[in-house]
Amino acid sequence: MSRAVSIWPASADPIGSTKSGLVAAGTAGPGWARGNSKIVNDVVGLIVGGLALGCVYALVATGVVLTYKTSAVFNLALGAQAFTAAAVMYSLRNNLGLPLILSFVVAVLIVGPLLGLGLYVTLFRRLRNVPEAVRLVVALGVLILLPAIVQALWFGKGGNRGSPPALVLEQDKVYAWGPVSIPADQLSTILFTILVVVGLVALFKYTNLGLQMRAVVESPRMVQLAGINADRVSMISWMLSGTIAALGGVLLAPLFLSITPSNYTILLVAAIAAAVFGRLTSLPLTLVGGLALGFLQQALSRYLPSDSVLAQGLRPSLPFVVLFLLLLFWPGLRDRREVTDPLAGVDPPASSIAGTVRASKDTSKVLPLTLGTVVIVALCLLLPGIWMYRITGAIVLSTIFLSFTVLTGMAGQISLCQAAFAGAGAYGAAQLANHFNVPIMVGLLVGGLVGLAVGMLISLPTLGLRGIYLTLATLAFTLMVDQIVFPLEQVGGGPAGLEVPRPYWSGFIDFSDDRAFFLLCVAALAVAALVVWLVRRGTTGRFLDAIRGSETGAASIGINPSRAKITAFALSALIAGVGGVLLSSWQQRTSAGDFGVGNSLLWALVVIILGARTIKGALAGGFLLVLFPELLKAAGIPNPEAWQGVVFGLGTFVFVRHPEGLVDAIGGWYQRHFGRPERTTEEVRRIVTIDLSEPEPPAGNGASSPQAPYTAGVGPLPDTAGAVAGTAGGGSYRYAQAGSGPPQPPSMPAPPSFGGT
Amino acid sequence: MSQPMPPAPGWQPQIPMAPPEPQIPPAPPVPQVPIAPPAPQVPMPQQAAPADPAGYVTAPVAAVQPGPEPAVPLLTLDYVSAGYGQFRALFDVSFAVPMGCAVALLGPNGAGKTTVARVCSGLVQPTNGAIYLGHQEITGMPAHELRRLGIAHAPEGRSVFASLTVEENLLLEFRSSLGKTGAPAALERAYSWFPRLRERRNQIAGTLSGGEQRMLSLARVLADLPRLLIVDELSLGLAPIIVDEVFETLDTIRSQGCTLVVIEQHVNKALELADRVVILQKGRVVYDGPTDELGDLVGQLIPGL
Ligand SMILES: Nc1ncnc2c1ncn2[C@@H]1O[C@H](COP(=O)(O)OP(=O)(O)OP(=O)(O)O)[C@@H](O)[C@H]1O
Ligand SMILES: [Mg+2]
Repeated sequence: MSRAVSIWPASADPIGSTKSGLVAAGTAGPGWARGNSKIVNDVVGLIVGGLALGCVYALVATGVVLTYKTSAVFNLALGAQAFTAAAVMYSLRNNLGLPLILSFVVAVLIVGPLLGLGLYVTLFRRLRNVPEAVRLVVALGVLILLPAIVQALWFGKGGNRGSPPALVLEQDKVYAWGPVSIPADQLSTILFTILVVVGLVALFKYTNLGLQMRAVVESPRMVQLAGINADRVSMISWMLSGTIAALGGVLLAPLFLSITPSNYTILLVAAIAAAVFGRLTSLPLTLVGGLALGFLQQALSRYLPSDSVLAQGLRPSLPFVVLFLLLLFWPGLRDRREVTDPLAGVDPPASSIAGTVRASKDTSKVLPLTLGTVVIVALCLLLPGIWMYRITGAIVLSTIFLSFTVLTGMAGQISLCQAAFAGAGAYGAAQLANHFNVPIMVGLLVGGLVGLAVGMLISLPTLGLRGIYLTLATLAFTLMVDQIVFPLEQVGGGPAGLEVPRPYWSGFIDFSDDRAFFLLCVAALAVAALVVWLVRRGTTGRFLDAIRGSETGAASIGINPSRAKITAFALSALIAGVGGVLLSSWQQRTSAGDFGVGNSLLWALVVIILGARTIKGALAGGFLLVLFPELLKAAGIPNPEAWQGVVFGLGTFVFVRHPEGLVDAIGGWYQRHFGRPERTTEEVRRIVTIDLSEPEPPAGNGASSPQAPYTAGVGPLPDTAGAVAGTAGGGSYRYAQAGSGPPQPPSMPAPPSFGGT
Repeated sequence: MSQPMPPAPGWQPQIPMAPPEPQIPPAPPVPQVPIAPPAPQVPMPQQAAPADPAGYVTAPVAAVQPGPEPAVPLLTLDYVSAGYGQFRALFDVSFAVPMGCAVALLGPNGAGKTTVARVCSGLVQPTNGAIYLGHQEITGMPAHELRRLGIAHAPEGRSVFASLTVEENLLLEFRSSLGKTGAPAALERAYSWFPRLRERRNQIAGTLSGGEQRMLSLARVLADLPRLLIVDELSLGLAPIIVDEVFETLDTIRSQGCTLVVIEQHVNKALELADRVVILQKGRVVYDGPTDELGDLVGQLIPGL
């Protein structure tokens, strides 16, 4: 299971696995140390080593700040861009044996900017006026897609042809000045960082391009009105940030034994921590933040005993802890004034993840739906064992995915820690079963409660965080849990994992048989789905709808946003916890990476792309994630995990066109082409025309808008606008030739009462 | 952008010679409002040869036809339809803006006036129909190219870069239209019209008062007069006396050869200024003609007046 759905290897101890070179840096100087005390020696080594690491963090952090400053995108994909450049560099230098300079030029100066440009042109350009959450999901998709492509196409599990190349002319040379000695690779890292930071500060402060970049982030439309090609400015800034990320990636590579995506995720999180320290705007503060983080990490690895549990967990996850604390307590972040685009009103309202789903009051479908389900379940019982097993897995995953339906679909929060909830539940139940013989049936309940407790743990302190900051906090939390807590012997059972029995209770209840377990999982899914459905219909669902629209607005009409959000977190964590127990019980064991950060991201991506708002979306996600790898394996494709990442990552490209989710989009398409006739545009248009005695159709010419908007009831205008994925972004809908539209209805004289009503 | 403008008849250079006899208003000018014509001490680089880096006035001014009435209007909308996503806001809107005239675009709320302005400046692309600037078809051109062809649009509502300083706001505009060399002079001109802005040159524009922000928007377009200026509810939120002065300013720049499209809720003020009136209702043109022929029709066409 874990191998089927996880895309990243679980190994992620950046410092632990670094080569000795970094830790010993500065002490290896040839001629200086003879008469000096050990302390000076230590401190210098610390400073130099920390400086190099901190510089890499700072470098990528400036990339984060740059994209955020110039395109309002919190570019999680930078980690993947850095990884790609490093992989290209490695392949060129170590596999093909090209000269260092040439490899550098290709990897950093060609691949870097081209990647940035490509991402902007294909994805982020059209995302300017969509909700921040959509941009975040797209960046997440790229974070998964790029490494998957690199690994699927040529890189495989990483290079094994010697250590990654350092950006120095003479390998292993050490420069020494008095007591200070710096290995050449660290010196080059420091120099490159200084160059980039000084260059960027000068760009923003003194050049016209820098001024235009700062203006574009606020309103590309107004920049256009000033006679400047805003699109070109954005392109340049994406190319610039791509180059910087590539440089950071190439500089980081020699600090690790191998080039793996997980190393670069850690780099990304550290960079985000530094950027957050710089309030996402100030480059000097960002530099300071990156350096401080480097020093701190270096000091920890020096002074904490390397065998203590704390050291092993804390050392590599320091950036996550720091990011989490910064998000909670860094005052600079709260004082940020978010400027809004004064010309945002030019775009039609875009559809969003948090669009409207009408919980239909229509109960006439309940009976056929139930009957159909029963029939399908019965048919499944006839399947051969292995398929039965797989489908059970799909159902279990769907149950976990319903936790996204609550938190993301209903509450509009993008959480990247659902796997942590599931893992907490699973490990809780498994430990109880192993040590105290508590049956898993009880464990299901306990697991749910443990998940809920963890949900509270994360939701209470983060209540004040909104949007992207909440997502980052959940990401940092997942990484912390994944690195510090789950590897513990007392939690996840160490490297060996835990045995998890199937539910069994002294002869009365016995689900150890695959078929019986299947039925249990179906029942669990049905209960979870029912709960989600009821909550959505109920008061809490309405409250969450309101909060999603506007938290301030909701508070002003007497809704308590904190309570509603805590409820959503609790319910979501409860469902995930129960699902986690079922998942481990389904595999009959847990293994490292089952509930790791890789799965956390992948799950979020799959569910949101397919549709986080509907139960259908969660179901589709579960089945796709379990059955798709089997399909790949059956087709004999090598490296199926990477290809799976590629396919799901490519889903992002569909997602930018259909933020409401693929399942809904297909449903809408089906409705339009094969649906019942009374739901077509013409019908609705006629109804609206009769009802409101309006002379014009509310939705105009079919020429510019081939899709019919009305899939969600007969609401005339506001619904239309909300339900349609508008072609947002710099005037992207094309001018259609005159005369190609359908004939307009006869124009009656307009009633003069329009303005008064 | 690439092809040069055909010689537009009647087109004047942007920074005109001082108008022969601008109607000086009787009241002494309030310092921060540009009632006076551009200060004469300011250098006028474009006067002799319009050496604009953007190159939108490449044709010599000699092409001006001597005829009394220029044949081609500066801006022509020809059966333009436009909308937002599925929603259609304009239905076959046609009207023309003659060279050197001020056209008032009036109508009830939601009639589509702002949408017309956006279509003219390229912010919203029409779904049907065509737009011409002089002889040149400009349908579908992006906004920044239209700005370089001389169409400036002061949009409705707040329209300054809130995170930039006052001076950066101005420089952004001037550097793109006049190049690095022309920018300081334009900056000087803007400050001499709006001394208030000079005092606050290093203040973040988002912290200016509403009126000061309007001045800043106005200064951006006035220091380098465009061929066509579209102002959308410029007087919104301004004190009545300032509104009067804004209209006097508009009158002045028209007499300097700048063609105007004025969208206003102060219908009477707009009618005083305008040579022609276009009235929209529900996305359609219901009146298009000279101001003097409007008569009492205005009361019927704009409900609630
Ligand atoms: N971004 C948008 N998305 C959808 N509909 C829009 C959008 N902007 C404007 N509309 C609609 O287009 C119609 C015309 O709007 P417009 O802003 O052009 O009116 P207006 O004449 O400027 O009104 P006002 O006098 O109130 O400024 C209105 O019905 C409005 O609701
Ligand atoms: Mg308007």
